[in-house]
Amino acid sequence: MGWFRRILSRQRRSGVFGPVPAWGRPRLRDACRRLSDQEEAMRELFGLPVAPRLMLADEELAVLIDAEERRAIEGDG
Amino acid sequence: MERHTAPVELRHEHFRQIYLSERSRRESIRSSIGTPVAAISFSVFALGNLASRFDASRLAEPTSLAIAVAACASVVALLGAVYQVVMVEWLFVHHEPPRLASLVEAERRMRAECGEEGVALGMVELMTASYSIAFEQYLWGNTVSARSRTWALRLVLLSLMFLAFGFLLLPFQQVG
Repeated sequence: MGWFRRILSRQRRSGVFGPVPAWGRPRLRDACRRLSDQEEAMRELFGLPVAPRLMLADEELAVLIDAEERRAIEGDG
Repeated sequence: MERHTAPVELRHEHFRQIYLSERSRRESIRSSIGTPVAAISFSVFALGNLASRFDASRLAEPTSLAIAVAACASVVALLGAVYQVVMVEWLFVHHEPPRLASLVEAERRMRAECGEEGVALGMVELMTASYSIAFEQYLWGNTVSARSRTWALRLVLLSLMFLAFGFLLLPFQQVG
């Protein structure tokens, strides 16, 4: 009955951030890698001690992906 | 003289801005439901048109059967689209910054615990935290709603394609 409760509360089982299900990860892997490359390029351009750490909002899965989750997705392949 | 923005001010302004933009995005998502709703209305009208021209007594013929299957698939896709349109606004909870009374109470407690010098910084950080929480909740809610809106559009398009297929076959049924 968990699905019914989620419909009535409009809430996910695991909160607003991740985890991304296994079947959705390969689709996001390239996007995560490109984003990391861009972040690293910006870090070098501005000489920043830390790179920007952007967050992704995946509309297909309706899930927010933070920088840690992105790193995990990149490391899958 | 060059003016540097303090990190605390920068954080505060950043989260305030993205919270406000996410809140206005909510309204754009709401107003964009009009497109799939109009397409659903058109599909219903077109389905009625197809049904009125369809000769059900010839259902055993392959052409008639194909039209019937296309019409049924169109209805199923249309029902899915209606469900997704409902889900765009389903139980959406708005997240807003604290009330003035709560802020005054927080200020009073900070003054008591941190002294007068810590109040200004504490209040800015409290507001930053409020904006950050509200932003994340809005972002997630908007992402869920945007997904439903996208699926509503996809299903309406699918329904229209099945309808077009049905209309394409209709002359062959009438000739046969």
